[in-house]
Amino acid sequence: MKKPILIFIAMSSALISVTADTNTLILAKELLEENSFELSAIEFRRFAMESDKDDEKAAAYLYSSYAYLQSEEARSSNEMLDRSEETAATSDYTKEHSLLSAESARLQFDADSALYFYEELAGDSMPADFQTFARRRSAGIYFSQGKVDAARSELEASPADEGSSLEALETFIDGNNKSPLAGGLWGLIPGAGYWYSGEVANGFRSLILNSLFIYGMVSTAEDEQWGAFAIITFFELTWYSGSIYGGVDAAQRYNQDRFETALQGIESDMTYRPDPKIVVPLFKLNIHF
Amino acid sequence: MVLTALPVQTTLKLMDRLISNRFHQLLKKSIPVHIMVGMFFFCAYSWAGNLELAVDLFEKNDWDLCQRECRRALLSKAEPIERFSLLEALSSANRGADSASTAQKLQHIVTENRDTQVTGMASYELGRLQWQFDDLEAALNSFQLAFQTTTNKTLFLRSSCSIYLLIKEAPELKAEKEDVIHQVGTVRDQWYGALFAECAKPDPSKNEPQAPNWIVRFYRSQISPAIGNRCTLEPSCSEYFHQAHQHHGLKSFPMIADRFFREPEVSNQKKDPVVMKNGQIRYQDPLENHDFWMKKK
Repeated sequence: MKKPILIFIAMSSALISVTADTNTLILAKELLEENSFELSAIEFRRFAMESDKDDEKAAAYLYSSYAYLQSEEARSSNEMLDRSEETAATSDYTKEHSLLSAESARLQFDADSALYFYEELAGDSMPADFQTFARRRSAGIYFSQGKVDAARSELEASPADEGSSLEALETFIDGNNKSPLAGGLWGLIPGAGYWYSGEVANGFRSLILNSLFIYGMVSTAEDEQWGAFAIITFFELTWYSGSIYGGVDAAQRYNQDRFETALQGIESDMTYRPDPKIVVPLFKLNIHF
Repeated sequence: MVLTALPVQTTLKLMDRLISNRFHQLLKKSIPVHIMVGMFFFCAYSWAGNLELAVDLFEKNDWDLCQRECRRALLSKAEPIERFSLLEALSSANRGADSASTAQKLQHIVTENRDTQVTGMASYELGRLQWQFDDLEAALNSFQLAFQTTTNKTLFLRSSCSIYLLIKEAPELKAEKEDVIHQVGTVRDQWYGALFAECAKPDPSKNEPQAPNWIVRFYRSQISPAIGNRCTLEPSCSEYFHQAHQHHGLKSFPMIADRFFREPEVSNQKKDPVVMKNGQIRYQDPLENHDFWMKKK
């Protein structure tokens, strides 16, 4: 074959290859912006596999890891992080790696690993927004474990003003949980189980339905209509057991809501996203408060 | 599925070696030829990467994405075509595609491809489908082919165990396959407990959602059409009761009573709205919000 023809074929192949790569990257970014995280992760991964440049690969794997994390696939996210680390011999993504590793561990309820990575991020050498993020997340983990003093210490060590987070923590400490056992016992009186946890309207509905069906039972028994009595009794047993169960469930939901409100207050509204201006071969996570 | 045993890393290593060999051969030749051939093998390497991605999606039971990935590769005629075809067929089967068309695809792979590993895997999966539809003789032949062609240990053990279980179900086939049965007998000491459950006759009804109990069926067929679609919560009260009954048995009665007490309040709060297909707005009140504390240990 003549050289010019070969050169032409080679250049065409190269051009097609580059176009394919660019399209993959554009698609991956668009999917990320649309919050189609799983699809985006796959496209970034494809781009990383197709690329022959180490820094591009490393950044694309990080994007993929981020996207997997957003779609709550911690295992795949970790795998992408590992690949990025293996590829990025020269790149420096230390804080991004730590942040994604910490978030992945948090997603998998691996508190010890998450705290380790957050501790790294909370170091003095890290930017202030990363430190704040890490301190709040650590405080949230300690709080979830019931270690309120440790949570308070983390918030106090944060470089940002954590007044509202500390207030949320103190409000939780000052409040009291409802006892599910007490809720169940109060539920023996139809409606009282709900009232115990502050659900007034639900309590009245339970009381009215139970009263009506008890009246129906008494009335049919007096008239010796045993068929109707059996049917009404079946429904009354359902309502009555519902009142007891509702008392326990209302207390559990009350406690859960109280916990989640406090946790949300402690962590505040924090998000992190890749910088939209930066694309591979670079990667940078921006934290928003 | 035996496909998890696909040696992706081996494929990658082989391609690495090929690229390396070709590179040394071409080093002394003209630069354009080198670039062109390099580009070709670079593309081949990328395809192997796509296979890895497809296998990963398959392992995560992400059938939709796996099938799409395989179709993309097959459209671009990416190698190894046989493996992509096999993955595609199995993904589509797992997505609930028609078993007959899956069997046809597998049959095609078994007869047409040149990769013995793929033949073994496709043959085994085909055998399972044939067994499911009580085509015992064909199933036995497929298992035999898998057993005799594969070099993959997992598939070897599975096909041998399936042959054993199939013969147990249909002893009349024993006479025709004495040689194979003798060979199967020699590997019996390598079988492990869980293998029997994995290799037993496929029962698709196991994966089907449990049918609602008679109360839900009666409500849905006799009462709901008369009173209309009144529930304002998602899942609907009958579905909530069905789920609760599946997970908690008799506790579902107090749970549904509790839901009736709470329904107006949840609707009034207007949290987590969901727009249904008919345009109706419902508010989310899933079972998980009311049994999370039962699961605590």
